[in-house]
Amino acid sequence: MSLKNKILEFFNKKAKVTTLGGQKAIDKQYAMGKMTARDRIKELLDPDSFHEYDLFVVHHSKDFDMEKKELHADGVITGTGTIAGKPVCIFAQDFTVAGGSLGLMHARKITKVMDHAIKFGIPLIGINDSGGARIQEGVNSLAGYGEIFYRNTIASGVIPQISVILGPCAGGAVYSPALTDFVFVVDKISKMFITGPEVIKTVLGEEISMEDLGGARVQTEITGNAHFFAHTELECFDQIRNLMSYIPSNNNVKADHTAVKQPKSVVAIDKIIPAEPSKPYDMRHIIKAIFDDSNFFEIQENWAANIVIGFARLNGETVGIVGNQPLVLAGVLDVDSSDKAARFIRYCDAYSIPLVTLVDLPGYLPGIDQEHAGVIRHGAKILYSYSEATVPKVTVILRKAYGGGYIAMCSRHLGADFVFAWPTAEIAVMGPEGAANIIFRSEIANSPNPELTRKLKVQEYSEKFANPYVAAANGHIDAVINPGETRDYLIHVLKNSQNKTELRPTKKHGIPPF
Amino acid sequence: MIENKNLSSIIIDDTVYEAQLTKKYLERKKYVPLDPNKIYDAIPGVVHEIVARPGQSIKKGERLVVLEAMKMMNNIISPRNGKVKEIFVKEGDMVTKGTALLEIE
Repeated sequence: MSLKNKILEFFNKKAKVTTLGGQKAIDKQYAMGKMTARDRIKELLDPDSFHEYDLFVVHHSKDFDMEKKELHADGVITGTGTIAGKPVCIFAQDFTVAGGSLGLMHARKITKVMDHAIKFGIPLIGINDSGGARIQEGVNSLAGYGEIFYRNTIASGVIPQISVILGPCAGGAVYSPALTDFVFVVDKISKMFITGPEVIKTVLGEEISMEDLGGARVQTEITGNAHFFAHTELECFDQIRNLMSYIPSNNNVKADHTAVKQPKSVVAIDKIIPAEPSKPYDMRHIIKAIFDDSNFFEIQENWAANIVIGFARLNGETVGIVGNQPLVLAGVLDVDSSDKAARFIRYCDAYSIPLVTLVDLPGYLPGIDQEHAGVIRHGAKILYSYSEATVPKVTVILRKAYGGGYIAMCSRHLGADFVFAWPTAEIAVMGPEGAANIIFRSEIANSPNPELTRKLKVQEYSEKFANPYVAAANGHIDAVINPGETRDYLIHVLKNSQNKTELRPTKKHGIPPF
Repeated sequence: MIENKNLSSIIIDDTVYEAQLTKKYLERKKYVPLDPNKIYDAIPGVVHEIVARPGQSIKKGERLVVLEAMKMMNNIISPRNGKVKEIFVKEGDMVTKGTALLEIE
């Protein structure tokens, strides 16, 4: 064969296998309101940056007449590209080829690109759109999943792993996203569950749609399995690029420094907070008043909203923020908010992102449902993650810091490097009402006017203990600061913390209360 | 962004806080103590066979019901000696976790 013909042959072969599952299947994909795997890669990555590998991989399945079937690229597109000029590894399952089903070679394409990402310290993005295991391949298909899960775990804390659910992702398959750092879902497109509506109907006789069982809203509002909700695939890709701008490419490098931008409006942050500690405000307003360009990239916005987590920049450097949200459930800690914060703290620690904790909470949520759901075990996760973290840890107590909540929210006692309190802070073993009712119980009961005595005792306790000065007198906090100085203080101490080293006893790993 | 609206109240340590309440909080299940005389189902399934009869004396460890669940025939056995007072399900019934199957006196 002449050189010219060889090259021609190559182009013909390539043209054939890049047609996905054929026009009919592609039309079907569009009819479902979904892009194809190739569209998605093109839209997400920098223009012309995608380099594809393993295009000519073929499956080895011989059972059930499978040997006669040609599955282009074996139903998954893999390769490397860039986002904002920085390298990423990517795979995108192709639903138009055998429903994106996962066979052994399909899985091996994924694990190859994963190995590459780990070796080269490059973030991994996985676009999931698959009917699940390729049943005809039997146990080999299960082997494929297992090999992916193993690498997800090995890569955890080494390179960022992002899962994008753009179609069904069910059964065993959904455990890969669950092992990754951030899961993105799109309204009416993403479907995640372990057992689907069919099985539930057979076993329980209960009918439920895929959307109500494991759609995008369910995963971002009820379960917390997913972190970002988008209305369209394009919005989802914007969110991914935005996230990538905040995080480093691997655990050995720092996140990019960006140009410093002052908070947008000179918000008088002390004006946001109501004087009365029982009145709510939106913690995100405070965050926007403190951090660069008033930008706050919130994570898991619609789940366990009583705590807010996310990234922001301080003087151009990425910081992770954990803040109680007085607006929702008074900002209490509970099972879900503890899970949410704990995992984020560990993420920041793994990737050397300093932690800023903003405190205003009355304590843990009381309730039989909370106790029975294991609030002890879940609540302990937050203590564990803060204590374990060795990144710079700065805490600002805005208002209430009562009891167990005070300890949990990155107190000095859990290793905070700096703890500041506003003059509005109330650092005490519990709120004045509760404390007075216990301490002065008999005095109140025996008084000729119990209500008046109670009121006076609450006031007395409040004046004595509901302030930052008792904690300051004991050195539990480093400084009482004017709210308007918060940004300056944070910038100053984070600059001081640049070379922080904190050693821990050598161990294989700890045993967090998972 | 959540606005400061739909405020309700929540009590923590005798203090009434103004705040929004979440769907999960509002829909939390009220605790109902279990009746120690009743045998409850622990797994969703189908009642395959009811072995015990009302009025029958039974011994601890004796088979009461066979439940088909998770591709297995599961024996529901008596936790103690007693007498079957009432059976609440019939063969072929689909039962969910927490369903009372029968009562022992």
